[in-house]
Amino acid sequence: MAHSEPPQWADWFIEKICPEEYLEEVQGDLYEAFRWREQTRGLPYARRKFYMEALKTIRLAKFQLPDMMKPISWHLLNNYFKTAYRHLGRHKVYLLINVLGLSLALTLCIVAYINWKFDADFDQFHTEVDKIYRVTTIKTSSLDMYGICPAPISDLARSIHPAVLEAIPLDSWNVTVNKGENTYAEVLHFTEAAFFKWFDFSLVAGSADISMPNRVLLTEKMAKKYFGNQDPIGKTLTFYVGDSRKREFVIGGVLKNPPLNSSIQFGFITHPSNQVLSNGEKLLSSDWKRWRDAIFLVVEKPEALPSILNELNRHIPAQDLNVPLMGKKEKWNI
Amino acid sequence: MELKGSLEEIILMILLQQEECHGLEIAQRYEEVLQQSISLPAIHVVLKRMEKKGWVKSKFGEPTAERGGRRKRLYQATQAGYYAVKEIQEVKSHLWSSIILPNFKYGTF
Repeated sequence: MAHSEPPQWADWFIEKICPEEYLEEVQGDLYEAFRWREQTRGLPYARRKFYMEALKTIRLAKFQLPDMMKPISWHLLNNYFKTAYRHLGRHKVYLLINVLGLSLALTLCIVAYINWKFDADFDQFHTEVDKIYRVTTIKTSSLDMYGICPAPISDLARSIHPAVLEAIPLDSWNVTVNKGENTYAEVLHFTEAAFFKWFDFSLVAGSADISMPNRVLLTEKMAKKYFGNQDPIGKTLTFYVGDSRKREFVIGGVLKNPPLNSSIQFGFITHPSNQVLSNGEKLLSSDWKRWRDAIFLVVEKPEALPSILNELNRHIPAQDLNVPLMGKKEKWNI
Repeated sequence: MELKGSLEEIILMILLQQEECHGLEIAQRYEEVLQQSISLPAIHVVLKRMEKKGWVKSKFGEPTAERGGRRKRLYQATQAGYYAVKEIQEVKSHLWSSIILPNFKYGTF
């Protein structure tokens, strides 16, 4: 019969920590105990106990001061601490001011560091962050800059240059979500499957495939809000836009909440094919009158950016024909 | 009265009862009697301490396969150990005999 062996690193730890004269006895006892517990209460219990008892053999260990610390006179050190303690006891106000001041300074340092860290990591947690750019729009008349851009840009960008690996549109609508007696105002985001490939918003459960009809993904926070501790996958939510448009979505997966220092914040995500306008038509990605909240380009080589920009700007007249408002387009790193 | 701590006392009594024991047997007996588990290193620590005090003595036993070919160390209580337990038991029973059933209803709780 093949015996299962006790955990190796725990064994190694015993050999390191236990004094030589006890090693044979202690290790032998632990091995025998492992066999005994394996037979009476099962392997996982035996392994767990072995780990714990291996750690506890530290009680048998004999500790020696490192050579470096041997010349230290401990009695004298004790004396220093004692005099310092008594001295501080006699100057309590001085002690109070110093302790308060030091702790305040340290606290502020920690707070400042957390604040800086939050700021420095803003939007930087995506692994492909160097390749992702956001297309911005500049109004020629006032030179104001906008984050939104016309819908056709995403299809256009994909075709104009080989360095553009992907164009990801992102759109958001204010919707009303209903489940049973509860109705809340929420924001529904529309994006394509490539969104999850390039942005690090990870999936907790279910499938991230939003290309199937009437699928929606929600965050853990929203899952908690609508379904409590139940499993939300496969359940239905009703979405209303305005008074007339109503649609039922099936929940396909649960996403991790986006970090607070992400500029992309969402609760619900679905595919752009679910964007139905008030006249009953789908929002066409070739319509220059339509705007996206954001279009992200995944660009492989940063050198290619100026030529992509030139190519895109050649289409300004097409845009002007439809909406003679916006002008030059430019790209920005998110 | 040298003996302190009930773990020393219990292990000594187990040794007196069993004549010859190694660490694991003591742990098994302990769990049987007291219905609670104990870690082996705790027993080893106490055994080493009592050996230094001269209450137990030990010798190596035979190596077995389940111990990975290692020898057991068999412990035995000594006469000094017997008197140490005896003393604490007498003190305890003397103290206990002076306790009459107290009135737990005393006072207003």
